Amino acid sequence: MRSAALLLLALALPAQADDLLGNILKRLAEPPVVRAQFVQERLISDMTRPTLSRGRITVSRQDGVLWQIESPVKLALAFTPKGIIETGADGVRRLRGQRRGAVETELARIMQGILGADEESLKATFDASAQGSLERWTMRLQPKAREMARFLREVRLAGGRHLEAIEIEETSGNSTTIRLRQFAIADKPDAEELALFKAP
Amino acid sequence: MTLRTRSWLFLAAIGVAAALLAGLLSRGVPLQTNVLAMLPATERDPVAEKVVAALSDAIGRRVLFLFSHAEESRAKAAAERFAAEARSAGGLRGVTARLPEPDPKLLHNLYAVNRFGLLAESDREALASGRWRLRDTLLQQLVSPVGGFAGLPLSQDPFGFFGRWVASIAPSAGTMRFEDGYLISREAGRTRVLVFGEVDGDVYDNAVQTRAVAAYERGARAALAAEPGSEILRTGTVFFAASARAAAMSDMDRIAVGSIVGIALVMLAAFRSLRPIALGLLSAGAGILAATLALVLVDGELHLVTLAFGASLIGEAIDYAILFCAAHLAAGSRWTPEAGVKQVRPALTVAVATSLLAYALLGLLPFPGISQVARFALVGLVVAYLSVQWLLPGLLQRPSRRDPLVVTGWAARLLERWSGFLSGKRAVAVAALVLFACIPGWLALQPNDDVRLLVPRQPELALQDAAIRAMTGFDAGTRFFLVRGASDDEVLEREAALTRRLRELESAGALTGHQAVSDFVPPRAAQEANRALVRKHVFADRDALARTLIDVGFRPEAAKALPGEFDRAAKPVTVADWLASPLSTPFRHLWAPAGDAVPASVVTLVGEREPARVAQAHAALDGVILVDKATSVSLLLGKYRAWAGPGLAAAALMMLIVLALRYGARPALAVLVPVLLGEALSLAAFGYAGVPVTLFGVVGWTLGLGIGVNYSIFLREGIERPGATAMAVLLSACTTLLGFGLLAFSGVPALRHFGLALAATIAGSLLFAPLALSGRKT
Repeated sequence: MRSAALLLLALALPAQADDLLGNILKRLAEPPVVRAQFVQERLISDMTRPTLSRGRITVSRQDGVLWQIESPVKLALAFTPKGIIETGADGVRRLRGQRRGAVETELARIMQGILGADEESLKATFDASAQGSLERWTMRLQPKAREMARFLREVRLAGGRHLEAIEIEETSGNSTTIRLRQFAIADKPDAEELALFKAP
Repeated sequence: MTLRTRSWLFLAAIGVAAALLAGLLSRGVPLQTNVLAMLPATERDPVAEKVVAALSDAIGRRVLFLFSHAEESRAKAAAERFAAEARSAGGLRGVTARLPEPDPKLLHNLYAVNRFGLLAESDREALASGRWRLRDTLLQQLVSPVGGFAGLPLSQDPFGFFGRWVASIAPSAGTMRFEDGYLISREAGRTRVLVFGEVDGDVYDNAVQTRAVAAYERGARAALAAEPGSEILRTGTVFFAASARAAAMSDMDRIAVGSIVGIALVMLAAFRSLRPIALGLLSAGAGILAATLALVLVDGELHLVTLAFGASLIGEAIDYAILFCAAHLAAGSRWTPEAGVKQVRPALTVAVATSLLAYALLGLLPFPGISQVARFALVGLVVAYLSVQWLLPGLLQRPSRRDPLVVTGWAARLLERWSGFLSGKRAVAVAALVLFACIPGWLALQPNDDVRLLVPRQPELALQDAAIRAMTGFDAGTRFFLVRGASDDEVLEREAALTRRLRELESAGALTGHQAVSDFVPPRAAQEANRALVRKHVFADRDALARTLIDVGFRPEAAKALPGEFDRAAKPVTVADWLASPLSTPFRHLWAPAGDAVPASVVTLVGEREPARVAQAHAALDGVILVDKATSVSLLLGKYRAWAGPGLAAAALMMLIVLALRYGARPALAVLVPVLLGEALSLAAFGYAGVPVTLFGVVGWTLGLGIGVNYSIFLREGIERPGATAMAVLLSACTTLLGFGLLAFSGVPALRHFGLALAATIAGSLLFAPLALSGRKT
C-alpha cells in the first residue's frame, strides 16, 4: 500500500509541476496580439558599461514577434517562421537566416517560442521548469541540444498574467535582461506592424 | 575423322567452355547495371564526359535513411541502433545517425586569416552603396537581442561582418535541422531522424551491392526489433541498381524457363520424341554458352540487357537444329547423317548469313549496350550453326522408324491450303488490304527517347526517394554546370559570375539553391575588393574608429586592438586551404572533378522549378557549360531512332543482294516480301497499342528482318518433303516467338519494346511466308 502511494505521489509531482508550466504558457498565449514597452540591458565582455536600449514589442500569435528598437538607434527585427526580417533606420530591409539550421533561424525560432509562449516549441528546445503560482511565477529554460548549449547557458523568465522579465545568459559571459511593461492586448497587428512582418 | 569423333570433340569443347564459364561465374555474375556503361559518350567535350562519370560515382555512393517514430527518443534510438548494426555489418561506411560535435574552431581556423575580406552579400552591398553608417551598425549589433550570439566575440567582430558571412555559408537541409548532432524534423506528430552513409566501393559492383543491401537489411531488422512502430525510408543509387539487377535476373529466369518449357512442349508435339528436344537444346545451349563465355572474357561483364536478351536467343538458335531434325524425320528409313547435313546446309547457310548481316549491322552502332547484344547473337548463332554440322550428325545416325508421310502430313496440308489461299491476284489483294489496315496504326506512332526506358526504377523505392528528397532538400538533379579556366582563380571568378545569376534565380523562385566552391572560397579579387571596402569605410580613419568604439562602450584596449587585427588578417583564403579543412568534406567532389591537372569545378543545382530559365543562366559566360546527361542521352537515343527508317531500308537492300546472289532478282524479292509485310504489321501494332517507338523497338525490327526472312528461305530451299519443311518453319517460328515473345513481358521497358517489335514481325513473316513460293514451280 505504502509503495503504491509513493508511486502515485512520484507520478503526481512532476505532473503538477508540468501543469503549472502548461497553464502559464496557455495563459500567456491567449491573446492574439500583445504589445508592450521594453527596456533591455546587455552586459558584454570587453565593454565598460551595459548597453541600454528601449522600444516596443508586438507579439502576434499569427505573425511572430516584432522587436522595434527606438533608442539608441532605430531598428526593427521581426522574428518570423521565415527567419529574421530586419528593417534599418534608413528603411533598408533584409531577410536574414532563411536557411534552416542557421544560428539566426534558430534564434528567431527561440524568440518566437519564448515571447509567443509556444509550449510545443519550448519543450522541444528546452528543459523547462516553473516555480510559483499562476499569478506570480518564474521559469527556467535550459537548452537541450548541444548546438544551442554551446552559446546559450540559460534563459530565465518571470511574470504573472504577462511575461514581464527575460534574462538570457550566454556561455561567453554576456548576459541580457529585458523588462516589459505597459501591456496592451489587441485582436490583430496594425498596418505598420504587418508591413514590418512582411518579408522584403 | 568419323562423325562420332567429331561430335565427341565438339562435346568436349562444350564441356571445357562450360567449366571455364562456371569458374568465371563462381565469383558471381559480372552483371553491369549502370546505364552510363551501356551508352556511348554523349558529350562533345571529353572533360564533361569524365566529370559526369566522376560525379555520378561520388554522388552515387551516398545512401540516406530516414527514421520516423511518434516519440522523438524512439526515433533517435531506432536511428542509432540502425547505424550501429549497419556499421558492423560491413558494406556501408560512415553510417552516421549523430554527428560528432564539430570543432567550433574549424570555421575560425579556415576563415580568420582573411576575415575582413569575407562579406555576406548584404554587407557588401551596404558598404558599396555609400549609405553604410559605422556608428549605426555598431549600435544595431549591440542592441539586437540576438546580436553576436555565435561566431566571434563582439569586440573582435563589432560590426557582425564575420558572423553574417559564416551564417551565409551554413548548409541547408530542407525542413530538417541540426539538433544535438541529429538531423531532425518534427511534423504531423512524428519525429524524423536522418541517417547517412556511403557505399563501400563501386555501387555497380555486384558483390558491393549485395553487401550494402545486406547491411541495410540487418540494420533495419535490428532497428525495428528495438523500436517497434518505427518507419524506415531509404534511398541511394545502390538500392536502385540492386533492385534493377534482381529484376533482370528474375526476367532472365522467367524467360529461360518459359521458353525452354514451351519449346520442349512444341517440339514434343511435333516430333513425338525426346531426342530432337535434347539435340535442339544442346545446339542452342552450346551457342549461348559460347556467347556468354566470349563476352565475359572479352568485355569482362554483361549488361543486364544482354543477359535478358541472351536468355531469349534460345528461340532463334534452336531453329537450325529443328530444320536438321525435320530433315531426319522426312528422310525416314533412307536417312544418313551425311546426306542430311548436305540437304539442310544451303537453307541454314542463307538463313545464318541474313541473320548475321542484321546483327552485324547492329554491332556497328557505337552503342556499347546494343553492340554487346549484337556480338552475343553473332557468336551464339555461329556456334549453333556449326553444332548442327559437326555435333548433331554424330548424335543422330539411326534413321527414324516413323512413316514420314504420316507424321508430316498435317503440315503439308496446312501449307498447301495456306499457300493456295495466298497465291496469284488474291495474294496481292490480301497484302494490299493488310497494308491499308496498317495505315491508321502507322499514323498513331509516337516516338519516345526518355532515358528512363533504360532504367526501370522500382516504384516503391522511387516513392521513398521522393519523400526523402522533399524532406531533406537534397534534391540534386541530373544536370550541373561545369566551369573551367586557365587557373584555379579564373575558375572561381567564372563560377562567381555564374552563382550571382543563380542567386537571382533563387530569389525569383526559379531555383531552390546551388552548391559551389566559390561560395566557400570567393575568388581572390573579390576577397581583396571586400577588404578594400572595409578598409575604406571602417579603417580609413583609425582614430575616429577608436573614438566611436570607446564612445559606444568598448574598452579602450579592445578598441585599439581592432586595426591591428585588420592588418594581420590579410591573406586571401585559397581553395587549397578549404580542401585541407574538414569543413569541405561534403563538397570536395565539386572541385577538380576531372583531376587536379584540369582547373575546373562543378556547380550543382537543387530544386529546379523553372528548368528553362536555369538552363540560360550561363549565357555569354566564358568557360561555363551546362552538362545535362539525361537530355544528352535522350538526344542520342533519338538520333539513332531517327536512323531507323534509312537503316532498315539499307539492311533490307543488303539482304536482297545476298538473296539475289542465290535466287536471282525477282525470286529474291518474293523471299523478302513476307518479312517486309511482317515489319509493316509490327509497326502498325505499336501504333494501335499506343506503345512508343524507341531505339529498342528499332533494334527489334532490325533483328526481325534477319530472323523473319529465315522462314521464307526455309520454305524456298525446302527439304525432301514439303510437309517436313512446313513443320520446320512452323516450329522455328513458334520457338522464336516463345523466346523473344516472353521479352515483351519484361520489367525493363527497353526489353519490352524490343520483344514486342520482334515478336510481331516474326508472326507477320510467318503468316505471309508462303508468298516466298510464288513463281516457283511446284
